[in-house]
Amino acid sequence: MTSSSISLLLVAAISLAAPLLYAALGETISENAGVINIQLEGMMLVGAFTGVYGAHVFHSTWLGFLCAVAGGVALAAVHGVACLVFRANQIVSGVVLNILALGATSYGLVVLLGSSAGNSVPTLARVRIPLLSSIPVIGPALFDQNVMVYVAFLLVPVVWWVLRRTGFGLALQAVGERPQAASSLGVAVARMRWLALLICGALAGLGGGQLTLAGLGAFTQNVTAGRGFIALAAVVFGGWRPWGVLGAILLFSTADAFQIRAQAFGAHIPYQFLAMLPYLVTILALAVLVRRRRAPSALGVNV
Amino acid sequence: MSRVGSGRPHGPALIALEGVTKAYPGVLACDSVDLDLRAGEVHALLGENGAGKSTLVGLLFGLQQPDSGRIRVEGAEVRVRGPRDAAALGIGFVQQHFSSIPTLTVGENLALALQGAGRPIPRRTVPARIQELSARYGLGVEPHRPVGQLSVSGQQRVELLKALAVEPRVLILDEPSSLLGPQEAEELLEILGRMAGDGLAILLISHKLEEVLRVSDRVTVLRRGRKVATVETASTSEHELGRLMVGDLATVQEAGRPAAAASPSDAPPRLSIEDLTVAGDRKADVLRGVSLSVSAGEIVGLAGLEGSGQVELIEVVAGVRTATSGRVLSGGVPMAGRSIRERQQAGIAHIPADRRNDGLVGGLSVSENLSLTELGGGKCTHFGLLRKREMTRRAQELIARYDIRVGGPAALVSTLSGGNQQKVVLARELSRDPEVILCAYPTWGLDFAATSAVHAELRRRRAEGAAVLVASVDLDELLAICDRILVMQGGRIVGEVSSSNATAEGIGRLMGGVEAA
Ligand SMILES: Nc1ncnc2c1ncn2[C@@H]1O[C@H](COP(=O)(O)OP(=O)(O)OP(=O)(O)O)[C@@H](O)[C@H]1O
Ligand SMILES: [Mg+2]
Repeated sequence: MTSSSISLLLVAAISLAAPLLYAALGETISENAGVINIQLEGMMLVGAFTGVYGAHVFHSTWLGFLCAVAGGVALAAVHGVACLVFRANQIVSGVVLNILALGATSYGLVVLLGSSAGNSVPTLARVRIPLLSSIPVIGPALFDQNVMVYVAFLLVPVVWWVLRRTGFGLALQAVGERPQAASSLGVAVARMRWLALLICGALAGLGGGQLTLAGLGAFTQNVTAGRGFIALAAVVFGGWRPWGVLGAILLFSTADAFQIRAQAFGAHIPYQFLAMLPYLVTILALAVLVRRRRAPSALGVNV
Repeated sequence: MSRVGSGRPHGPALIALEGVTKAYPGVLACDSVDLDLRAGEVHALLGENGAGKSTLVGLLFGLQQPDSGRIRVEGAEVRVRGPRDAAALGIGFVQQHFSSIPTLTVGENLALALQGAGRPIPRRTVPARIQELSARYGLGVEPHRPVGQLSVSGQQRVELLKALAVEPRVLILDEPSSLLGPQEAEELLEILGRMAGDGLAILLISHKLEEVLRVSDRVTVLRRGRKVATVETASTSEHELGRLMVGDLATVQEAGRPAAAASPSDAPPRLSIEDLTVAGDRKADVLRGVSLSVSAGEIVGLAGLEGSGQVELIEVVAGVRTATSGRVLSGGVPMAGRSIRERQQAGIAHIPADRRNDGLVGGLSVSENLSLTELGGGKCTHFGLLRKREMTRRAQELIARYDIRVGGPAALVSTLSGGNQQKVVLARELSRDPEVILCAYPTWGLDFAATSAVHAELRRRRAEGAAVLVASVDLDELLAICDRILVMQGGRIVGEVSSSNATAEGIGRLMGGVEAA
């Protein structure tokens, strides 16, 4: 490979990572508080849809992003009512909401947006950072992307800081680890879980919006295609810590970018096999390389 | 022994409970209890398991709300809706079960507790705050270690630290010394004396009468939710307190010296342990070449400070933990490679140190917990199906026999008082008529009567030919029931004494390593 094709590969890898990163960071926060969101995929999908719809209606990409957040939060709220209020099983609720999200967005596509071809919206422009973007090989990948890509990556240290350095983060971990003890210390367990869940919904919605508003420029049926599940897995592989999650996602997105380029060049490998590659690489590498960490003790346990 | 209590004249009540009542389904945990605490006093709260002690102090700390009655602070009626209110009123609380998050460090736990109390401090200042509190009260803790890695006494110190960090005027401690060794318990009592001297009001729950007599100024006794009396410590005795708690002391057997076992030494050992080594999670090995044997009809004690390897030794024999090298033989048969279930079937019973995490399933009922070891070929299943009626019958029998204070067999284990949870574990394990009994802290949190009953039960098993291995931090307990006591220190056996000529002081010195060469 030439250095320019490596450079292109990296550009693709970084921009593919952004939507995953939003969703996975949200899920990291939520799982640290003990709430698991199998509907992460669903929240992304709803965000992807409401984002495009919002951008259409308001003729503004930024208001579109706001609608994406609202969509994710709305689905998270349904999960919260089911699990935190009515104590439904978190897994079951998550699975049902995924199905609901797929159905609702497919219907919305037909009713509100019309055909999948006809709903295109302008995508975010790239913001080129002078000097830095001219660094060979990595410059374009890191410093010539749209704003929301930068935000996604900046969110990694922010989430790390919130979890490890603030009282809010401490309380969050206490709630995910020993809810009873936390409550006896004066931590409002239910409120913390709601907050964590809604933040997760917002970020997952943003991730979905990133996919359509910054990347594809249109909504198609099931546009997320399992990315929510990849983000969910990245949280586990990343050991419930933001930097680990970032590592897992970069691995996946690099393999994904590679696979897309290989398809484009028409390598003599069946494209189904190529499409499988990123998933395979991620699972193998992480199963072999990663030092296993324990999940929060009260993950998925209603209190 | 000298009294540690401050012995100062006391002012008016700092905190008063008036006619406080709390009912749970089927039990009246507190029945119009009156209690007052004065600045500068150590006030002991006594009562049998399930008497309502933890419930009462929980009301004071706002963990539950009373059904009726009033709480007054300096005469003014208050409502304590939770830990934050309690902290604002100057109440600190060390709970019976630890309230730290094991994955967080000492410093993070302290920050969290202060935040929950509504008094957050900047994270940078936490280590300094810990240093300051440690120095003031002589509590050695390292701010940066995860709490889950500390020994039980270390965790206990963290709990105390968290309670003291809110600068309380009233400090409540629910059985703080029940897992501490004699030396550590002594240090704790001294700290409490010093704090009372500084003007704090201290409410201390304990089952150790001797400790209560030494440290307290007044004692309040609860019996089945009702207050029986409040007495001045100076004018009471162990006997009177015992009578107040139980109502009728005649039912309690005196715990005497053991009758010598029937010459166990010439019988082949029922249990032998040969050169057992267990590598530690961290640097030092947990067990380093331990060998011992227990004959049928013998009770052998394992003394040692918390963390000396006694509990780990018992866990290896029970099959919970795997040894790095060495052998365990039960009745001459090597146990290597046998599962816990197979060891149970070979007649080994295990009473684990941590009843909440290892011994019981909190979300299951008493009767289900009592049947856990009887599943699969046991009496409680029939072709794999549970025999509910048999389980209930068995549970009723055990509840009566072990005097478990509970509404009925269907009650969830998590709603039982601490001591009664311990009785459930004991009842289940001992009811299988085991030939080898392994116990770690068998009387943790048990009241006086229940402790004597457990001791009597272990002696009876010995008379029937069981081999018993007991780990305890309570030397008086070991002296009362054991034929021989092995003293452990740093994962090794450093001495053996026959209990007929041992003294607590002598063993204590061995435990601290003074005589260990
Ligand atoms: N959450 C609950 N639900 C139902 N019953 C409860 C609950 N908490 C306590 N009880 C019951 O209230 C009674 C008093 O319990 P409490 O824990 O106050 O006893 P205790 O005096 O602290 O005993 P111990 O010395 O064994 O710790 C017990 O009968 C217990 O089973
Ligand atoms: Mg109690």
